Amino acid sequence: MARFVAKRLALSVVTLFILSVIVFAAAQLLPGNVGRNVLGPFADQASVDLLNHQVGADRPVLVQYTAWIWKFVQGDMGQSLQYRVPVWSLLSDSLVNSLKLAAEAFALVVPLSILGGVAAALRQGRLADRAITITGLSLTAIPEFVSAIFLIVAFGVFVKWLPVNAQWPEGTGILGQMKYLLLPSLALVMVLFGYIARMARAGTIEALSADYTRTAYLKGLGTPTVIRRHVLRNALLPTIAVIATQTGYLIGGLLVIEKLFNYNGIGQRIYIAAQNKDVTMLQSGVLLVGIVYLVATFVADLLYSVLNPRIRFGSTE
Amino acid sequence: MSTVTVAVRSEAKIARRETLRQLLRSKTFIVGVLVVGFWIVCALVGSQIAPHNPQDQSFDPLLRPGGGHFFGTDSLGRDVFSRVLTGASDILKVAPLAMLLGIAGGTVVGLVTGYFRGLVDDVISRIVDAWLALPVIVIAVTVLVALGSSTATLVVVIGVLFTPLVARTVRAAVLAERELEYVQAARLRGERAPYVMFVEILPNIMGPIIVEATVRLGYAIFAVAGLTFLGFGVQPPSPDWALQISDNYNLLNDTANQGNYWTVLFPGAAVASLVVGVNLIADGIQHVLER
Amino acid sequence: MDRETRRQLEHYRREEAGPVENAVLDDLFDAEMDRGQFIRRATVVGFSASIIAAALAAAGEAELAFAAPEAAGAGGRLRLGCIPPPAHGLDPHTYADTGSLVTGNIAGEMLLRTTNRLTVIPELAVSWKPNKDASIWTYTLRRSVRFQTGQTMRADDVVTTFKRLVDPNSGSQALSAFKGVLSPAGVRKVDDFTVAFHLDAPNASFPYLTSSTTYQAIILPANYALGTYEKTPQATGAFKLVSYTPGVGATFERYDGWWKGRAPLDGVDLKYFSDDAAVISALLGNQIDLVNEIHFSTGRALFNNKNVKIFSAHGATHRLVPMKTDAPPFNDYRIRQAVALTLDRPAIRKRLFNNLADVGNDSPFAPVFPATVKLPQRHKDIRKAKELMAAAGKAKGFSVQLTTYKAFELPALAQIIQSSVKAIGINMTLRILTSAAYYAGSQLGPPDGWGTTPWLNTPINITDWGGRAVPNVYLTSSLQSKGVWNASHYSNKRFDRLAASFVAAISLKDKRKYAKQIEEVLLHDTPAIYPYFYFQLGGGRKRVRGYQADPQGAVYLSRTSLA
Repeated sequence: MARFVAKRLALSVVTLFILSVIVFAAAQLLPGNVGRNVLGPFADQASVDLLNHQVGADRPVLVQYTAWIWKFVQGDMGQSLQYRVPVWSLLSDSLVNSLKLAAEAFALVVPLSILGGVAAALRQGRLADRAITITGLSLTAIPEFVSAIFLIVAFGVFVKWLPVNAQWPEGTGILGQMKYLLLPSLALVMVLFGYIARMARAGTIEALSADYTRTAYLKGLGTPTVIRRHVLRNALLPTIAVIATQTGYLIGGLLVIEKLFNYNGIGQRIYIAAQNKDVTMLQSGVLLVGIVYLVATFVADLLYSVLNPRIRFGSTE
Repeated sequence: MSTVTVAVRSEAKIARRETLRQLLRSKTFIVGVLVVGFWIVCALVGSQIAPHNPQDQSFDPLLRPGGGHFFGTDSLGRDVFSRVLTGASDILKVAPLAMLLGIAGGTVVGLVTGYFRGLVDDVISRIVDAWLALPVIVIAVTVLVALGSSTATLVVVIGVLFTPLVARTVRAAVLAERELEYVQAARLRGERAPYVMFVEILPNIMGPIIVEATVRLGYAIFAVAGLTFLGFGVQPPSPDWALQISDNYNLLNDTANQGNYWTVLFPGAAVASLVVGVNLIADGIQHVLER
Repeated sequence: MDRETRRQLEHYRREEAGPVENAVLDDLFDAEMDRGQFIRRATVVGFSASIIAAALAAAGEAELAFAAPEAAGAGGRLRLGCIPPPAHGLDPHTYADTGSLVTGNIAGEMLLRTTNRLTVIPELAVSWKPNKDASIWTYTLRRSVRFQTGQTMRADDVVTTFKRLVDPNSGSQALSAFKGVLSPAGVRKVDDFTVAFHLDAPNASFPYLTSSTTYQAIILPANYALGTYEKTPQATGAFKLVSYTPGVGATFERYDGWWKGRAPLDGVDLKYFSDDAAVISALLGNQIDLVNEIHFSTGRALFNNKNVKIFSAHGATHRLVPMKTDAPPFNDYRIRQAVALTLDRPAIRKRLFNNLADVGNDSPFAPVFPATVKLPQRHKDIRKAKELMAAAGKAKGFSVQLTTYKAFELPALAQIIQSSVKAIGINMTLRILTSAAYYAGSQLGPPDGWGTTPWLNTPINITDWGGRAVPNVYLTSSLQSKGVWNASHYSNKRFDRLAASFVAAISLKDKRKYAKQIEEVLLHDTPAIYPYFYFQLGGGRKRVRGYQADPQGAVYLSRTSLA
């Protein structure tokens, strides 16, 4: 187990390194000169040069990369070029917000879709199965911006049950915050339900026909016990993988949802940074999202291996 | 050419015919083909069958559905029904091209990594892993900000972002194939690597690639629609669905006129139906191939 | 009119008034301007309220009545929605977008304030006076003003602030307005509470530039350190900026040391939005009380909602459609005229603004400006447009791309133009960018050229122009040959001369004379289309009291209260 963890960890670090190179290279793509972008079109060339020198934009690319990553590792993400405040002071809040939204969305969608998937599998081919499968399929096919818009209009504007802006007023308690996050979470539930339910259904069907299930039945265990002890555990395996891969989307990929619900998430931050050529914010933001994704997949891998003994001692391939 | 290969080839041909027959018997597949086919026909001849010119701004704005306008009119006084009918043309150009680019790139990368294994595989696989950690839409937006948005950039950006995802699937398929007899035989004959990869292995992994292609097409439609909604994709005055939604969704909170729902609902339903159609095709193919 | 008033007025004309002031009085007595226009001009050149009243009485006009503010309830915090968020830091001299304009001006104040009737009222200056040709303006500062840091405002603070505003190396965004008007050396301290502005050229409208229309001109302490506006409260206004989170929001608390007393509100909670629909929904859903800017095309729902009131300011805010005059296809004035003739302006006004706009006549002389001379309105005339196209050798039309960005009604206007010019054979494609991309790139300005930025270098585009109290900046920066924002690359020596004469002219009579000629030149050359001047609109919940929209788009809350 320790060897497995160590190997996974080492691989993640390598991946992270490559990710940082990609991110840095992509940020260099943004047109325009850092100093010029900050000081505006009418600023004197000398002051532009001075600023470039101060922020280090006049150094060789390799030096800039090393300096950036070295500071990043120490927790210093530098100054935002557009707002002139430490990047971390803005990204930290946005990241926490994104995590909160993702958590609420998962808290709603995971039980719901696993339940749906298992129920569909148990009634395979019958009406309930069809209904769940088709609902999931149709929901997945609706772009998130369409479902979000209709949720806002239906619940926020017409019947006024829920706040349309997800950003809660300062000092709102945890339950209040959850209320503010309910509409965007529902939009995400609509996106993810079909996907996860489908995985859970497939996993359950496979588990139902597996040898160990038949053995359990032969041992005289009742259906609920068999499902709880054997089927569910195996049905969950593929679901974990799906959840892990969706983390990247939920943290950082939600800029449309964040925009529509006026929510200060990290996707919105990165999006605005890209538009305003705030290179420091952009690089650190994207890298941060990458780290969250890698951590999520790493944890998922561990969980997977704990739940599925077959993989633990095998190779990672 | 050895007799072994010939035998494999004709076997493959029979298998393909059998697959096709099963597909035609799959309800899922047929429904998907009908839906997608409908939109393709609309994209091709929509302007001829639409009751009005989709760009004609001469009607009263924001008429409710009914009368001369089945789906009402938008805020510029254009017929929504005609715009929905003709709205598939841009997305059905951009999304498939992006998908094809992603499939082509991913197939090459997947074949190379899966076939050679070793250092090449390790390096490329790590890059693919890193790539997968990036939030797709954010990266797409960043690149489109940097390079300026045009149809060509859009295709390239989405295609490139899809490449590692496709590569991962292809690589897995190649890993399974490369140990099989026919590949070993080709190697023993002294065939060069590109020949083995593209002539021997590729035809045998077309199944997973086709499944991947249909799945990717659905995502490509999503990506193009999302980027268009944000203003980086298809440009006005195209009647593109996502563009219609983007132009009109701020009318929805006008409770006095039923929220002008028709300006968003119908294009939204159209995008959804296209994606459902593509997904049904993907499901159908997957089902038949995996049997 | 009683004798005392007459005596007061005559004394003023003889002893105090210079040529500038007397020209304004002459315009009134010669019936060149009506009451409202007189008040506007009189306040600009620094007349006191008693002189204005005396002059009006002498001219047989009704006495001046100042509107009493609405009865104000005290207390409470106003929840303000602002779209879009500031794109950069909050150093006042760098303001270039609505977000920073709104945020900065809740706390900051200028020497003078332009009201939404385009009159000028004292703020941090109590009086101001031109010399005889309006080339030197002398301002007397208010003595009771304390910065939010506690120090008293003096001439040094004003001089430092203005030197920074007109310094070409400071990154000031007010340079375009001050170019050719004021240079750093011209800003001089006379004594501790008197400042003189020695202008580069005579300018009878100069006080507007020191007023809230130059929204960068917030007076700051002389020892202001760059980058600290959002960190330390140090302006002079009714509210202190106590916390600021870029892209998210800001918090303001009442400043009890304000020179004018106590504002009714306890504070303001400002929240930024980047999506039109989100801010409208928030207002409808009672998550905010007030929105800085709304538009009919994107905020239709507010116009027939019983919980919402609309605040309107009649101004000169407009969309400019410049056509690049130095390259085909728009290097022929006939083609440009033809394009302008395809637009059905009243229909556009109805569709995009529900008529809350003035129709434009292809010059920056909006109906709201007193100097504007009403020339025959340009109407849609496809036949004439086709003739012009034929005369220019383009009877078959041509293809061209129009560039603009995604905000408010701009994409809709683009699509209307695109569909309109089809009638004369022009095949127009549209490129709708994000606002960041539209204004990106270099824009050095003459003599270095207009750089690469799309908004100054595309064959035809649509740009939004903020409201100004006088058309000077529109003329000098967007139409004069050397203009920094001359997107048309327009160059006409006669126009350049006329614009300079207009800016220098003192009497309204002269201003009108030049305005008429300018309007005629522009109508002929048509370097740009001015389709409409729309009203600046704000939206608020019914409980908001004592708020007025500002034609420049700022949000002034010092007299606002909540019911």
